[in-house]
Amino acid sequence: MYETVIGLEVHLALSTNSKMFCSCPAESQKNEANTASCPVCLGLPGSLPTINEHAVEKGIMFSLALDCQVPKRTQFHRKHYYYPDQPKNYQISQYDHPVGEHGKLSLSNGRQIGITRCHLEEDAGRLVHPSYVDYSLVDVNRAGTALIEMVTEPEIESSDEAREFLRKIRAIAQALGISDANPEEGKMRADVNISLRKAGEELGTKVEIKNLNSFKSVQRSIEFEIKRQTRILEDGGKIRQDTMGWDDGGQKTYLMRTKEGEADYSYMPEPDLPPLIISQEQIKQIKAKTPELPDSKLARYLELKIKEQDAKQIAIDLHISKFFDEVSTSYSGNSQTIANWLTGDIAGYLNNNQLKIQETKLSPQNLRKLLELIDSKTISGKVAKDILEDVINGHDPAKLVEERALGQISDNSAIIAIAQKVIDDNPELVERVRANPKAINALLGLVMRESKGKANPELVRKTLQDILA
Amino acid sequence: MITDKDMQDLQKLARLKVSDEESHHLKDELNKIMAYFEQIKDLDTDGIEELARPIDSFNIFRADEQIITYSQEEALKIAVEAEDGFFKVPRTIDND
Ligand SMILES: [Zn+2]
Repeated sequence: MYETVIGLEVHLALSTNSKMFCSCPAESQKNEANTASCPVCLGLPGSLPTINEHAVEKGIMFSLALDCQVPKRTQFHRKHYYYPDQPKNYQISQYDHPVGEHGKLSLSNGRQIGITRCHLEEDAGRLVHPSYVDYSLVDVNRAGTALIEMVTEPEIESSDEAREFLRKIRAIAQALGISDANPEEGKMRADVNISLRKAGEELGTKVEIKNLNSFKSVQRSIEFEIKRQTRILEDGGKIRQDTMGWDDGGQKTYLMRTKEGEADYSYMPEPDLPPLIISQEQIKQIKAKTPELPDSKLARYLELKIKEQDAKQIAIDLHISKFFDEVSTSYSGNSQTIANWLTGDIAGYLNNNQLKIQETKLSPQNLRKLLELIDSKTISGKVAKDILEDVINGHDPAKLVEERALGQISDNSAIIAIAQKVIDDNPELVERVRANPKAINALLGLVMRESKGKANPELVRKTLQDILA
Repeated sequence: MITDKDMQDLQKLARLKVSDEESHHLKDELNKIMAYFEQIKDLDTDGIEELARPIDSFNIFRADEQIITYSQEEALKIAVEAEDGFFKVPRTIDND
């Protein structure tokens, strides 16, 4: 059997207003092609780049969140390569002094994955390849937008660990507000380095799988490569140091290029950009601005005695956790009750309707009101579930209960009247209850049905007992 | 010394096609430049910090604000060929 050794490179698109080294709008990928460009990002002669202050701050914040050391001095380098998606013929990136180094991230199984480095760089443009023609098309809107690239040590051991790692990175990036980290929109992309080895032996030859744009494709491509490489090794073959792509349709990796003749990037310090000196004071300020991280939220929820499974589910989602916190501060009942609703019926509704909580009209106030209506026994849990969809669609639960007369009947005379009617109509049942008091539940059920579920069950029980006594 | 093989590699990296005659000429020129660097290499630079930029400045930032500079039409003025608002370039992949 072989051990799997995986390293990840993750690119996150930083959420900034403008590009990394020029003032062109950063969020223009969905706009018409080539509507966000200037001499800098088109690489016109004589143009000079300038450093986006926000991007650097976000890069430092992300590095600190991953326990990286942020150096006193950081600088940018030119990485040369010639490809039509890169108008300057080099990418401004970082090389010898990246913005973060030597970090770590813990997985739920207790294993720590080393973060080699985090560095700032600019993205390339977008290439389009129309069918049946001999040319490609270039849109430079994305060229020059700010990215942070994070590289791990080769310490991930399975596809499940890789997937959890990526989920945590996404949760951290979203919690910090540094990136939408949404793979579907290209805001988070991963490259996988994977090799196999026999236990205790040296690292095997690694294969790189490029440009994976979903967590599922990361997981599946790793699983596929493990099988492919195992087969080659067991047949006595050798793994070639190739760069692979992932074919989502065929669910298999394919050869993109062999490493032989790999481009020499001729890294050189970017002469047009001054180095950055990062002071302790600046780091302190960024730390003070850093929002709460998912792991800290999880610890807080466990402290509130929320079930671990629920706590994890809430803590990892920025919007659900915000929602939970808002309900929690104003709700005097049990925190687990909020968690039950969020991870149960509400999560079910969101899932069925392919929605996120922030896309609905559900407000923390209305969820709190709904829970309070149950706690005060104004409505039953069943009625609450019945009106949940309307509450999610923005209706005030108190108003719904009033308008639809859903409140529980706690009026004694009304309940006595219904109970008496049920007793009169069911003499046989009454006999059974007299013989065995436990059978009272059958009568209780009939009264509840008669009241269309609105009678307060405890009052009904007491009333029945009183009448039959 | 830069060899003919180096010249081929350089052409590949720079995506430039030059004739044999040009290549010969460029090789001679590059070798002259390399000879200067050989002289510099002889200098003792122990303990001297790298100087990548002639001006000793640092921490010069730009505020994260948007400015729209070029319209699509203006941007595409520099295009050798354009189509549907895109720059048109030689095909970069094999398949359709
Ligand atoms: Zn620009």
